[in-house]
Amino acid sequence: MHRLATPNHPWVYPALFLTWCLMSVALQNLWLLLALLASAVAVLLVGGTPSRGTYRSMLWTVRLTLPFVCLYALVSIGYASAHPLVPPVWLKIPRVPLFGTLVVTKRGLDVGSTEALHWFDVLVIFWAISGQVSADDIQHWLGRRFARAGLSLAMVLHFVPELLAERERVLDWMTVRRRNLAQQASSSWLARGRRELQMQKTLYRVLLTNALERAWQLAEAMTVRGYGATRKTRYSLARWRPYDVWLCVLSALALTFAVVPALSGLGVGLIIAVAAIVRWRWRASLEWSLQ
Amino acid sequence: MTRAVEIEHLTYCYPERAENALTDVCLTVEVGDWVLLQGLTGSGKSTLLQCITGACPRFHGGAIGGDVRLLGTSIHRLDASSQAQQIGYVSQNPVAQSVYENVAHEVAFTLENLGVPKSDMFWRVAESLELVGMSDLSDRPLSSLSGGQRQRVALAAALVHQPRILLLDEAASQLDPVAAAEFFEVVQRIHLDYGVTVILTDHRADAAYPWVNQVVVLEKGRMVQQFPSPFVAARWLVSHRPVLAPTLAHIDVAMKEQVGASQEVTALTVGALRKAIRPYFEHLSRFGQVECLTVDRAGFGRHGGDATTGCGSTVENVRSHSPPFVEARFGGNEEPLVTSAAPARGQRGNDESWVALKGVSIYFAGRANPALEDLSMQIAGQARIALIGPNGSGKTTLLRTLAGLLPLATGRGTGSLLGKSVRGAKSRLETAGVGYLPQNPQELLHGSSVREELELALKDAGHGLHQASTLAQRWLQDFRLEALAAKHPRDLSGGQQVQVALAAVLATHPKLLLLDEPTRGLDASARELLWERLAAFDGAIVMASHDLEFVADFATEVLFLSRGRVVLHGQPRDVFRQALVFAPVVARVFRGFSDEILTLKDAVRGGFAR
Repeated sequence: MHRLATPNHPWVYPALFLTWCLMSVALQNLWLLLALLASAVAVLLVGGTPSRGTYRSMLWTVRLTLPFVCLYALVSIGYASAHPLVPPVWLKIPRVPLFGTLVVTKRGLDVGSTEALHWFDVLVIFWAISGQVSADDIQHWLGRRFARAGLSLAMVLHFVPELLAERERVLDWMTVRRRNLAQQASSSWLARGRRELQMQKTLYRVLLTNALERAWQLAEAMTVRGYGATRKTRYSLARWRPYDVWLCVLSALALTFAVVPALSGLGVGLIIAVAAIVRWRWRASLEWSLQ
Repeated sequence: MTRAVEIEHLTYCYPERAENALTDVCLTVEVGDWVLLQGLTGSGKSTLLQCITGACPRFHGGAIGGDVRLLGTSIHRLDASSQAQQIGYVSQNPVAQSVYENVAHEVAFTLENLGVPKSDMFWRVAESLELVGMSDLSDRPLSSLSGGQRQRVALAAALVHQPRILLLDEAASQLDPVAAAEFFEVVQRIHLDYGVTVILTDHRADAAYPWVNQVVVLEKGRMVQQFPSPFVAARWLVSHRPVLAPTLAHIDVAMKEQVGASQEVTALTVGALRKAIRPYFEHLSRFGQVECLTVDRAGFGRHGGDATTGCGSTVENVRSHSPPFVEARFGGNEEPLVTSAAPARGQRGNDESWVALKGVSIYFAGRANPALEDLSMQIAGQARIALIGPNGSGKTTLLRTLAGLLPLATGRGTGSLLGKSVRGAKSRLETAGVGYLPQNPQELLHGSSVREELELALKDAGHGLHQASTLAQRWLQDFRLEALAAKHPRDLSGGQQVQVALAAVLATHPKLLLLDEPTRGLDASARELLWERLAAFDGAIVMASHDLEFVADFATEVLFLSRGRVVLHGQPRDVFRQALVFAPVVARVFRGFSDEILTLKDAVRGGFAR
């Protein structure tokens, strides 16, 4: 996922996330929740250029979370239908020992799907915002007090893409080699299985060795650059820009409206506006960064 | 006067090693000097730099003797912070030394460690990024930068705390010729304008010699010589350590030798050397000899009147009209100048097409521009094809396409090595019998010893335990690796690691060998050994490389790629005659005088170099 060329203030991300989460909890209307979900999806789609890869990652997110959400929805529907039982009853199956009687009512369906949407909404917005958060932002949140923890986390986050790229490279090499071997070696499933195991062993052995070597090199470079000295200050790029302030103010307003039932529609309208602004602005800076 | 670096009787031994990495090294570097440390791989150059940075023994451990003084203060008296304050260090792998993701933050890391107030950090970061020409990219994530840009960020990070001494350990080795030249220009500006003392190691002596004013030669951990001038060093190296001498010095000395002039080296740049040899070629042209001055690899170095050239002039003709230096050049040497059994350029190969690509394009997800566009090429048996071009031009992508790792977006692939013809639309080439040696092959070494590494490769190739062991012994002998058989592959030098990785690839008996930057970080002797291995390979080779000297020496066909397209294609002679920057240094010297001379070997065979 591409990140912004000119990043937001680090505190904007948790502010946006918190607003979305609280609104998701506060809203009880199914249609308003769906509108909130649509705005979260819009923000998620901003994460990259509108390419096949973006849609693939979106589909991956949905595929990963949807089964859990469906399971949660089913349990919620069953639970909300049974406690207390409010007609009309749409479905009732015979009693199952230890589990009791499963009942599906209109109210249960309503409550269950709303509950599930709450969580799905939170999940989608978490994916969307986490895609924009950088290791530097996390360090900013942790502050000077936890600077070392922040630095360690930053290094891990910096390291993971390198590791994935390296895995790709090693797999490339192994794929070519395997293709050659496939033509030479016997085709018994046992031999193929053994070879496959050997390949996996090789892959992880290589990755582990390289990871240790890279960690060693990085530690040396850090030592040479004075890491470990007692005097330590922190460089921060974070600046509150007018845009960041407006984003936070609008989010706070949206949240305020959302908790008042009569104004909750207005609150969702505002957060959709926030999503639109975010989407427009992130796209603009993304295009700039890709030039 | 306080000196930048004073090293007295320095001896250092890594932990758990029997041999010293450095033995009794004495070195003095004045403030404002630019010193080049030269030596073969394993001679102790990097260890010496690490002793100056304090990483040895502070980080690596081990035993150290003697003294290292930085600006008059012994490193024993300096704490880590004071030492870091005086030194800026750039390694050959900027990825390995970057801590943060954001460019500006990465540059500021040393300032954070040194406790520089926040108010001072901004202008220092801005200034050092401006110094290396990276101001516009200060907000970018490092992962979005090219190799050359990342190396510049590493340089900015090394300069941000205004050190007095800058250490560069093979800092330009991963860059293409243009990016490397730009990198050295930036260092030159810093050196001249701010008086920063620079100590660098680099295997590409030709790239470094024009800039340095002092040369130190190391050998097996000992300092062999310290020269006050690169010209003196070049002269000595040509006579005593030719493998380390800059290519241009070989030519300069040979030309002077022929005219009977003092054999001091005076030209270490292409421009200076061209100026020096111009009178010689002008004299030849007056007698109509220049167009006949061909240097054919099969019948090498015959000037004029030669059956291969078809010119009417003869050597005698030239000699009779020549000034003394031309006389010396041809004097009595009627022997064929060729001694190598190497094949002539463009003579290898046959008509059978093993793999042929036509109109191939490759797209990566999320990228608007294709990584390869409308590319066509043909690989026949015994072909030696080199891919050259700037970083990011599509060389590795083409190799990966040939290896069947990337799906074709458009175009088609045919040939006898492909199981079936492939046509665009996401299909991959299922090339059989491919050996692929990616960049940094040492990353792939996973055995606990060289012998085990080869045995694993042979077992993977379907050999039984006993057979693998026997064959491994034979491979060790063939590759002259017996002495290293028990060593861990990661403890070997760069050249040795490439040898082991290549042996492991060849164990699968490929027909088509794909090599990605095989000479990166190798010293001259390791490159020569690699050349021998590849020359003996019975199959086709496609190689991506920035090492244009190696390409000119080895390839029968060159593809110059830019932005995923082949922009120039032909035999090395044709390509390097036209390309201005992407041409070997020797080819640039002789451009217009003799387009047949592309490499030092050519020049030596032609009598133009020692």
